[in-house]
Amino acid sequence: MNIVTLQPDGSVFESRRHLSEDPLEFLGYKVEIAERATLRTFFKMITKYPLLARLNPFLPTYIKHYGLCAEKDCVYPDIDCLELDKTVEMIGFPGKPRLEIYITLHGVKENEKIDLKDIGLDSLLDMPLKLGKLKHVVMGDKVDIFEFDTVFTFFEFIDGIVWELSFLGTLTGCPLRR
Amino acid sequence: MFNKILFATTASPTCDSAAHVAFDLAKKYNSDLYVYHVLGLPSRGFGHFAMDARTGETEHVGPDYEAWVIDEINNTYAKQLAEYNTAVVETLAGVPHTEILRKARKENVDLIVMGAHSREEDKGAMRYRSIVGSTMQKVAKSARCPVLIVARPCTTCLWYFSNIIFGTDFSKASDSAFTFAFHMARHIGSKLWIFHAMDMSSMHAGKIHSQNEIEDKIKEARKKIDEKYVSKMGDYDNYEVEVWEGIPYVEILKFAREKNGDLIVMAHHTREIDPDEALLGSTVEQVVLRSNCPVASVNRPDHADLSIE
Repeated sequence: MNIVTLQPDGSVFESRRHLSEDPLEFLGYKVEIAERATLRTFFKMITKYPLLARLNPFLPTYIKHYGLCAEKDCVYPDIDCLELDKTVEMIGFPGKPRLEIYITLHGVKENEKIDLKDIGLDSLLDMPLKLGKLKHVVMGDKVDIFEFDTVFTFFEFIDGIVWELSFLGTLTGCPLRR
Repeated sequence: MFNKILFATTASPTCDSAAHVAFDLAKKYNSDLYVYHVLGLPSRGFGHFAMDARTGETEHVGPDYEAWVIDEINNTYAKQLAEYNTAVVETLAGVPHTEILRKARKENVDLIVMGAHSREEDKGAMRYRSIVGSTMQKVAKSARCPVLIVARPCTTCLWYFSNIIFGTDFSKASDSAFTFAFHMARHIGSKLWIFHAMDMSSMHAGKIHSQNEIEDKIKEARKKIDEKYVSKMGDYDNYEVEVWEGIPYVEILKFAREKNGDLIVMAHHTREIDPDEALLGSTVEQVVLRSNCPVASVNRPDHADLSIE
């Protein structure tokens, strides 16, 4: 089976073999992540396979930012873990019916979703990272959402995380005017 | 600087950051502040019904409901209203963006302050349908005055903004945005960053440009900035010019984060199109969604010159 596995040190294995420096051919493979993986693992992986940084224009900035963060204890107390979800949403009235599939990364605290955009990268790096379920939303009904086990491809994993990262951050200080 | 400010709100938590800025500004400039909530009609718009901004339920609009909403707004902003008690809280039933624009025109306000979303963000809508907040989009498109969009908590006070970033694509609308950014920077004493991102995606269509060609284009852009903007700044020397190449919204966001910008000023739309025909330019939209700091969308020259009392 076409599976790649992300190890806590950021290396990626395919059938017990280390991925070569050119991991592009594995982007369509199913991804599995080690139990002890954190967001830092994701950045270690991008550092090991720099070609992956070209998948999103924001990624180089975040790699730079990652390099400036503390080497441990980058945690946010109000979140238990980070979870990647896949959503399939049927949208109907008003307008033309459509179906959209997208990946989101969010924090989880006792089964509750936490939005990450106001939290800095330096508070998230050591949060455990998990692959979540597929959520099926029918016609905007956000109360009765069906949940299913699912798989994520290596590309969805990278793209979903970076998409969310591009929204992170809040102004933290205000240097006084001249 | 701002004699009249219209703060358009649903009084839901998504407007809290905008409220902070609106009240702060009004206090600083002793402006007339209108705290305005439009009781939005359901999509079909029949009868005296409104969609409650907090619950999403359809409510019958009558004096009791309106009084309850005003009460709720007064409670939500109790702390700010206690400090700035001349603010006027008003509600009206109607289509939100139409009524906000109507109110802005009627009162001839100098600035509209609003959040990016009236309700909780919809990730699917943001990602695939480029929907920010439809009321905000429509207000930004048609407003005659600058619209300040505050999507994230703002830790600073507007009069302490120390880094104002003006993003330009050299369009006519950008001239108005420059006027606003420059007068604001001069009034506050902030550093003004004049920034242009060369859109490499369109440059690369079918042709690969050499490094020399890119550098020539950067020089050309700098010359244009000198002619169009720097020449109008007189003796104001607290500015810097930067030209980067890449995808415009990515570059301006990267630049704003790098310079710790506390206000981004951009033209509402990015090409030379009639403002009435323009949808929210995709660059502005993407910047609003991701920006850490408030974004001022300036559409027309009206009210852009802040030196006029």
